[in-house]
Amino acid sequence: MRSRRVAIAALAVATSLAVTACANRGGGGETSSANYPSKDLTLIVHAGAGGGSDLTARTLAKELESDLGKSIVVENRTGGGGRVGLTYLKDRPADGYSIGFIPVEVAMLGHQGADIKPDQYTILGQVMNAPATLSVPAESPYQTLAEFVAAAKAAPGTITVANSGAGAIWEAATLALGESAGVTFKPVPYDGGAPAVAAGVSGEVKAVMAGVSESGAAAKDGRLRVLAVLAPERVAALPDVPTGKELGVDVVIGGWGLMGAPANLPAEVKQRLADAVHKAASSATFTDVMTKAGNTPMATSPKDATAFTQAEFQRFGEIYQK
Amino acid sequence: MGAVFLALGVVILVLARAIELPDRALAVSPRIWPEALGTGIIALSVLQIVLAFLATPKRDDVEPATRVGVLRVAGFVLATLAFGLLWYYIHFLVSGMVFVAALTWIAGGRGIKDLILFPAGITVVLYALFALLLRVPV
Amino acid sequence: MNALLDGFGALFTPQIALCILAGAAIGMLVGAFPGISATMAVALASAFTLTMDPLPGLAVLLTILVAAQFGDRIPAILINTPGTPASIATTFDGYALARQGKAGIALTASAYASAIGGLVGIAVLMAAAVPLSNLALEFGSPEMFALVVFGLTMMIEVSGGKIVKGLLAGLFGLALGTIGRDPLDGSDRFTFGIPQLVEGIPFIAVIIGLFGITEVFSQMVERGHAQQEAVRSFGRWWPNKAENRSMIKPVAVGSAVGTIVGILPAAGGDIGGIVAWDQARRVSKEPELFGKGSLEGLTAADSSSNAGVGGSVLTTLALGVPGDSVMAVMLGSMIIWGIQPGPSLFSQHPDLVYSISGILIFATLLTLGLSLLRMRGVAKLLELPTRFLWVVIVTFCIVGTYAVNNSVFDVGLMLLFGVVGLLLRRFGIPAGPIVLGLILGPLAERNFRRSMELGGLETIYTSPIAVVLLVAAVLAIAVPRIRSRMKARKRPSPPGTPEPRQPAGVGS
Repeated sequence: MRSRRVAIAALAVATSLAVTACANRGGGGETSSANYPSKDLTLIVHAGAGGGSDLTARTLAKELESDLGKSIVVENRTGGGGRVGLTYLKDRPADGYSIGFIPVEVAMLGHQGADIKPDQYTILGQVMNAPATLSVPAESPYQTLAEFVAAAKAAPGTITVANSGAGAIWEAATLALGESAGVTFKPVPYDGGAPAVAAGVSGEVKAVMAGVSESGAAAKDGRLRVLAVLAPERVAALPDVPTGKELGVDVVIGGWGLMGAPANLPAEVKQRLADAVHKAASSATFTDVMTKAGNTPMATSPKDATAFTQAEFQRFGEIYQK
Repeated sequence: MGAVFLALGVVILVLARAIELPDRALAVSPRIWPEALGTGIIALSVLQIVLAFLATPKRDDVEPATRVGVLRVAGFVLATLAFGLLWYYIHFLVSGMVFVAALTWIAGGRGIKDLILFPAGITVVLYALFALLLRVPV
Repeated sequence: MNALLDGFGALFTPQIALCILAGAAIGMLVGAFPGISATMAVALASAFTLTMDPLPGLAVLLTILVAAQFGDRIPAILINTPGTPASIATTFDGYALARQGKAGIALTASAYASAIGGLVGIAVLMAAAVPLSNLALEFGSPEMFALVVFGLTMMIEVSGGKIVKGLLAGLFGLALGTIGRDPLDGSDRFTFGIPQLVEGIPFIAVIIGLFGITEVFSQMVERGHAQQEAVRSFGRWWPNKAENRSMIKPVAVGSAVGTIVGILPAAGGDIGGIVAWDQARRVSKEPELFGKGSLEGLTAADSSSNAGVGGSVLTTLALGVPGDSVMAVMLGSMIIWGIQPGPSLFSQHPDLVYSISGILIFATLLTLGLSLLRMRGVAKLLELPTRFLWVVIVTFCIVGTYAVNNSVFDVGLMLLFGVVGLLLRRFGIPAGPIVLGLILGPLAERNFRRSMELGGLETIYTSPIAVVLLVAAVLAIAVPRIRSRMKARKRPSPPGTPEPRQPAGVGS
């Protein structure tokens, strides 16, 4: 009997607490966009704590906090090669309190069977680029991109190029490079960027396609020779390496990162956030961290970034058609 | 048990047969490994069934199950599922406490100490560690 | 020698001492909670340490890593739940010892073995990180495949005598490992449209379910009344002379195996511990005790998984290519600090390399001290009435599993595997081979298929390392059976002649 009374009392306490907790948590819904932001924001990251995307997002979050005057809590929603996080962001309320880091996968997953498209998000601006690099082992006979392409032409489909995993951006980059140069490489997926680079260093493969941040260390030590960087301009981390375009293979591809929010964000909120993102992405701290990590910091307008994302979406559609 | 594994093996084999072959030429078909596993499970479970017929099983390290024990396991599972729903709507500090109290009750705890103090303590420890220290979103 | 003095000397500041202490506290706490991995703790801490100077920052991060692999032994021994995957092999004997009322000795022996293994790993790598890391590069896809096959032969040994059931469990684990994106063509396989399964079945959720939750459920089912005894008595805390002597060999085997496995890319403390446990069993005088509460098995596993830490840290520095996810996080921080890992780090900044080794050594010794001091406090947990203990384990497993990916799906999966584990245990099917299959299966498939892409079967049979490992795998299955036949034929045989084969046979 006594225990039952205790249980009822506990239930009563719990219910009353629940009501207050709900009120605190739900935010009531009457947050008008005039006094935005009036509470803390959540920044959703599709990748685990500690990776490159997480580092970008957390560095940017710190800068955004000082501008917006509210705390930003980074939430890692990992899984499915980005699907889990991107789907989660898409389904959040478009009130400006849920923002997210949007990786290149937003333009790829839709072509790999997932229900993810760029127009499901409000894009606030591009913050970084991670251009692809094609590197060969130090003792490789190929000195230039032209020699490498010639070898693939002589023996189609036998020149092995390591990448970070099946369906990942670096595999697509290998296909795009081959397409552009009119040859067929043989992409070999590894279990992540680091093992792929290791396979390149050891000579298990003829070449490795990876981001600058992944191949940079081995390249500086002279154990990898970077033949080309597939960026519009030469990158700060590898100033001596020519771009694909300089070498006559006009292909620009690689990883990138945007800041975004669920679709249909109110206009004032979008403006406020886009300004904050632009300012944060241009800050010295952010650009410094990005450059040191081997990536290219960017700060584009929502309009440019949206157009860019749509173009990339089209482009990956074409790559995966073939 | 052998029959369950036999069924599992057949399911794996059927699913493996249904794997779509890629357009790109691969040295080894993506079906081979799952197919091999399915076949292996079928073969071993048949062996297991045969052995079970031939030899009388000796239950050495498993004590007989008790009725209340089975009910408790079922109670824990159901309580956890219910908590999953509750948590979605109600703040962790509250739903967690109700959940811990429910588990303690199922495990045989009664009285204020068991149903109020202990759940409150556990919930606060978990909240402090995960939500405040590790910044896990709850 | 000067660099050694400079490197170690730079550590003797109050700030570094404080950082190591903080790292040790965080690491042990994090390690002791099932679900929270060292990777997660290091990643979260790195957000704070980025603003610090490199040395204090590294002191925090490296110490967390070391300390987590002491803390994770405690739940493995006391409640049969690995705190991190590195202590999977600890549960094999650790929990059995605890059930026999020898938890005290198990905890002490485990702490010492972990420390010795850790120090051996650091010492070897300090001396020879650069040449050894070059050797690691020799381990390409065919060699990894052969190593994994060798590892898979252990399924028979962890079956505990029930070979057919053990192999069934192992194949079940291998089948679970096929869930997720196809490693070569990238199409979804057995995911049933569930995005959480695309990167493979969440491994930590499965382990926590099969070990922790199953253990609680199984106790519930077998005991009608919650008031019955769980692991309660701790027995002696200090091993006696004979026990000390018996642990020398397994710790030596464990340290050697762990160092080698640690150097290899993509093979971490979980695999190191399991392989060492098996090798120690083969050279033991009492192999029949392994899995039933052998101090030898426990110390072999623990010394091995910690010997791997030094291996993975220093080869990451020497190669500039991270060996596992923790090291990927650490490497990110270093690059931001302007430390460029690679062979040139060792020639140009040897003092920094020694500072890092020094941090690892201090962290190991400090954590050993803390472990020995803290154990009695931790042990108090088990003095809780059983009903409270059950609830504590289940809630901590739930929240810990959730924290891995912030995913409710993972929690559901953990619960499912708790029930599956209970059913399997009731039918006498061991859980060890399932976990082994789940860890090694994807590695075997990927490396095999990648080798086929790279050049067909030729890549395997032309690699000396791969051939040696595959022969070793065949011997590992055949020799014990032949020997037991021969033993049966001529009764009075010298018991336990050690096999002529070296652990793992890797360096050849």
